[in-house]
Amino acid sequence: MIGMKRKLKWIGIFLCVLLILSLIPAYWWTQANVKNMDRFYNSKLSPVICIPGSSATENRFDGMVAKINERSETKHSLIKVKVWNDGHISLRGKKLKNDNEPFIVVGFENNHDGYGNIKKQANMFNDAFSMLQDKYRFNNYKGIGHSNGGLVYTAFLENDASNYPEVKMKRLLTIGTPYNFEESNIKHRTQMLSDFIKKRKYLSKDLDVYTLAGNETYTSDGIVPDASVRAGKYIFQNQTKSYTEVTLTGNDTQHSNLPQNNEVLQIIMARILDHSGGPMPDDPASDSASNVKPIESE
Amino acid sequence: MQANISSLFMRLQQVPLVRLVQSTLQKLFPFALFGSVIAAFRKTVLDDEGFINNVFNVPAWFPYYHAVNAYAQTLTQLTLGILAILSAYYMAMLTAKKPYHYEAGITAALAFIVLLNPHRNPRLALPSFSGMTPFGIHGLLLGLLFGYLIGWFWNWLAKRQKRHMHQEKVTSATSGVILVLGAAFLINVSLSVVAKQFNISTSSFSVSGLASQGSFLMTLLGSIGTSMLRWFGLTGFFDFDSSFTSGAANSNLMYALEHHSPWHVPYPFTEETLYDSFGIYAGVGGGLALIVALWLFTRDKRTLQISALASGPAFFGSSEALLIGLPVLLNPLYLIPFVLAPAVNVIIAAGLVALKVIPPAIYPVPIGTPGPLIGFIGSGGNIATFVFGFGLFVLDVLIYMPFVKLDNKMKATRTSES
Repeated sequence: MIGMKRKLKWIGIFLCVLLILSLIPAYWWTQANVKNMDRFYNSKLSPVICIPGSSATENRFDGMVAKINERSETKHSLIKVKVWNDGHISLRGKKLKNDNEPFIVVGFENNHDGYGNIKKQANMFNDAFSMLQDKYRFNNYKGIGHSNGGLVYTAFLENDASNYPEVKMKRLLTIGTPYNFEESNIKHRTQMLSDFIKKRKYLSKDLDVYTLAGNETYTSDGIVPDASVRAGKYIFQNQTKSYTEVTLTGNDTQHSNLPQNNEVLQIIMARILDHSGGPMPDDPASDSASNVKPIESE
Repeated sequence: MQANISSLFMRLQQVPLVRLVQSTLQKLFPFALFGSVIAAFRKTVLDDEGFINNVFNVPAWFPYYHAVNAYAQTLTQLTLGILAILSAYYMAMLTAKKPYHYEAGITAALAFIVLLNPHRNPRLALPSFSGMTPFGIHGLLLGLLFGYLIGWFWNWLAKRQKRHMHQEKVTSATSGVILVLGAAFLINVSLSVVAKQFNISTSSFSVSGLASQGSFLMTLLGSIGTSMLRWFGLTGFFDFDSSFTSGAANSNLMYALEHHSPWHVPYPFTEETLYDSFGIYAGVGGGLALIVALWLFTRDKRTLQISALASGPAFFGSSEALLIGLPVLLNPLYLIPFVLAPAVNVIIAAGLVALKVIPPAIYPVPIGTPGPLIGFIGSGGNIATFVFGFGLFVLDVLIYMPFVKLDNKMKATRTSES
């Protein structure tokens, strides 16, 4: 009994020493944790994350960002991320000090077309997004997807965005995105479109979605059929907060020219960015642009 | 006076049901100990939200991290996760007399599973106050009562068989098995039907929302209620390991982040700032304080051994082995200090917070954090919080001291009597 009590004394002393020693790492941990939360909750950063279409690279939006910077008072940074097939992620470009709305372009080494590759790219985008969120600690962002980039975004939003419940996507713009691939008859739904429609319930109810179609002819932008872009309504309409279709005609409405199209730039500045020199989203004057035909659905 | 109290507790412990419960709980100790060691290790080292996991970045260096975590989870399920089933087994076995005590134990365990089978209707919420499995420690009380009932049934069967000498033992035992399992199945089915009919689900029993509104009185009542429920083996209103945060806790955190300081938050008297940080500084019901009181004052060897073995997991917030081994649960002797110690801590801590001696601890704390570190981490590393908590710990030991001494006296009288 006495021997046992002596042994117990040592267990007691051991636990006390352990406790005192763990005060130091516990202090470091909680300080770092508080600082991290502080950065996140007080973050004013709201990046515009862009995904290029198939065959394009992380340089796809260079022209678009340069033109937007020409027209607006505040300069937006351009940060380029590339996800390689071996899983590693490289990052080029720096965030300007006074810029809370940097453009971040995420490109993929595997930038091939096809539903299988879209799914792979959505997974790669998820990795890049996780890295970016860790690095910049933003709590909201905006998205732009050109062509198949819009498909990658849709797949990401339906499957992976729930991993980041505290990071909110405010607005999404897809430009010439073929929601039904090259199928021009909406009665023939591709596997991808039916999958997107099946999982639409996972899309955020707080999200404003804009889809933009270029019409070089009456039925297509030269590559993507108008009907395929418009198939987006079966995914977003009555699920997200709003869904707006915009059709552009006239100059620079060919599929690949769309990101540099003047009207597209205006729409990005008015509807997607938070603060820019252009007209604000609720300003009715912004609808006066001659060849923009918005069709809003709630 | 003291002699009066002593003899009152003596008489209480002589009540057959109380004695049966105590012996059953002692039988469960090996399972509870093994289970709580694994559970404590898993919770603090392997869980993503765990204390050591976060502070020492475990996933970066632990080999086969996910596989080990999965195995640990299974082992916890097969020990702590079936305590109620085991309690039904031992209770029935100890209640029933020969020749049917084995049949009683086995049928009680099986019928308990059949009775509460969640697969028939997963939304059935009778057995515990939470949505958690009724087979673990939270179903202990139910398991004990059920085992007692089944034990009595087999005793009645044995008596009946004696009266009708012509009846064979074989037919008697068979009809017993069929009756117990059949009845359990029928009750299960009718409960499912009732639950479906009236749409009873676990969410309709959410009491904790009330206690988390952030007023001092509600927090104090919540602390007292939690300790009492835990003494019965049930789920308390407050649960440090729960991942749910109340609205009050969330507004506190938002306020602190906005103002870069935990002082002056809107709700300084919540579960997190008082109960989690000080009420369970010495573990649930002040379990660690009880261990220290036992190390200092007990003269009973078994008690000392149990407290030594259970101290490790209890340190990391898994006190099942301690509560079941001594036992503390359903033991009239320890009810008063078990409820009193956390309540006194909560009251004193509220005073310290009100006088602005210490800041309210409102930052997130990993699960499986040793009680003495919860307030320290939650306050963002305020050393005064740790030191005052230690003073409360000493107070808790003093609260437990007279009851440990009373236990000594009772055990001494019992040995001198026999």
